[in-house]
Amino acid sequence: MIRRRSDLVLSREPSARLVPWIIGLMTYLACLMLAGALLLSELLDQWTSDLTGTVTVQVMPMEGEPPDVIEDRVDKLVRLLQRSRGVASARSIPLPEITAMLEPWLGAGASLEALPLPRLIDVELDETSPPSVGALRTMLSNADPGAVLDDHGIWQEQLSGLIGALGTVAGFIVILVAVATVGIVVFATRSGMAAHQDVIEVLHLIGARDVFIARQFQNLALSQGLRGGLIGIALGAATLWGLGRAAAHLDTSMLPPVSLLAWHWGVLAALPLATALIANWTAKRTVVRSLRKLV
Amino acid sequence: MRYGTGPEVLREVTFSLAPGSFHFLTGRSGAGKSSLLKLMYLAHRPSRGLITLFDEDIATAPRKRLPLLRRRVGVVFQEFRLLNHLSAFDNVALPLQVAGVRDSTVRKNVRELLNWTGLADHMKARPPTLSGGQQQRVAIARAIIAKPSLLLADEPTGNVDEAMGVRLLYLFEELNRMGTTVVIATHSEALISRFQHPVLHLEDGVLTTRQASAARGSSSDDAPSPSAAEAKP
Ligand SMILES: Nc1ncnc2c1ncn2[C@@H]1O[C@H](COP(=O)(O)OP(=O)(O)OP(=O)(O)O)[C@@H](O)[C@H]1O
Ligand SMILES: [Mg+2]
Repeated sequence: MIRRRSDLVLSREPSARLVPWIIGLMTYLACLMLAGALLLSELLDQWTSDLTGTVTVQVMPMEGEPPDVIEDRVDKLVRLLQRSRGVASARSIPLPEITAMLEPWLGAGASLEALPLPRLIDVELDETSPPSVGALRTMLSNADPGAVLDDHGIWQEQLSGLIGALGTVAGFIVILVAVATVGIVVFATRSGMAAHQDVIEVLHLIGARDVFIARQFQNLALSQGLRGGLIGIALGAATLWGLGRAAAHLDTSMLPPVSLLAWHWGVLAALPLATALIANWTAKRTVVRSLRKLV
Repeated sequence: MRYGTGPEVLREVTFSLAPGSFHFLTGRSGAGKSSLLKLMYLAHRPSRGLITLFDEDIATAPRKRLPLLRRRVGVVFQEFRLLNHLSAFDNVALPLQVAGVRDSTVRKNVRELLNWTGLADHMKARPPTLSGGQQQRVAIARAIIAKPSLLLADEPTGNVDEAMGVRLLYLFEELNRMGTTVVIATHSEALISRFQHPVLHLEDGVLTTRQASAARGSSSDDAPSPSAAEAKP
């Protein structure tokens, strides 16, 4: 017969039913953004660790050079590299492999033999005592002015710059979503307070403290935030699962395989908790601030 | 005091209620009876003047202390102000719950009081389904459930027949005997002459005090706390 002290005063308001769904959509967005940011940083991690182990040496053909001369230059460089400290292995990439790599861009019918193609040397670095990139570069250009060391550094830098920017955007969107959630709860709490003005006044006049009155709204907001968060995370998990399945069918020769790690899922699973706490805190502040205007 | 930028409703009001006293508050409609009570139950601040409640200056008391003072004041509002979505039982229980009283104690006390005010059969009823007189009794029960030091009742007999009005007055006298200071705003000359208590009369924003023709002993030494309300121009 008696109601619990924490939920005694508020009658159910029809408009309150909408709030969890709006918070749910917000959480969904935050979930996807967060998952995206986590995946990108994971991707970047894998990429950079893959690339530090290898460098490529490009051997440019000289003007008017007969085709077999370049073979000698490449062989010389490979032997030089194999003797160098810090190099685990060096291997010249055979011409057919290079033409195969270029085929998608130039078309199968192109007579590549006629083009002065640069030759490539794949160099595996010794992970335990990697050489200084600068020293390697000078050594190569001294040995052959047409040899260029491509340590993927610039590409990597640009890539990580791009991924960092994407991550910043994702983080920014997550913050926006949090701000919007606060806004929704402030709005919902204010309209709830307006709808319960009489109740609030009576409670105030019979000696209820502001925090007691606030708690009534907090409980509502807490459950709305939690329900909204759960809706959002459920939708988000379904979407990520679907995307994961779609990606599994993809030929991922370009991309290293990435997937969310356990702790990533943990971060995402904490979202409903976060929305509930945000809603709770927001409702409390909203109510207490507005009650301070009363005598 | 004044509402917003309106005219001054109460101008010259100086009085002091002895602990355990019983007063009627009269004045024609619009004289400011409800307004004076609002000052006393801390719903309004005076635009000027001094109010002391339970020896505490309202103007300088920190806001955090006001809820504790309000809990010692029971109010029967002129328009009841029951919460329509709560049962009669929950309405009456509210002041105790607000004060953090244990649930089992709340249940026992509320049931007892509702029995005593003849509402035992209507505990689960919501106020809109009750008659005016029944609602009034729920409002009175809510005002006295926490055994207030000061009871303020604004026309508590306005909605009931004369016999019920007299019965309710006996209820207030009972409470007064147990130490509660009582102020009752009323239009009813019949009640005033029947119950012989001093009268506070409001007219043109000025308060005058009239002793009852046959004054009864109305001071009690073991009153919980001095209760004084003053408003000086
Ligand atoms: N909330 C308010 N805002 C502005 N003016 C108000 C407000 N409440 C009361 N008044 C004005 O204050 C004056 C006194 O009103 P009050 O309600 O105190 O009278 P009252 O003596 O209780 O009358 P009644 O016997 O009809 O209940 C009236 O002129 C009224 O118009
Ligand atoms: Mg009135």
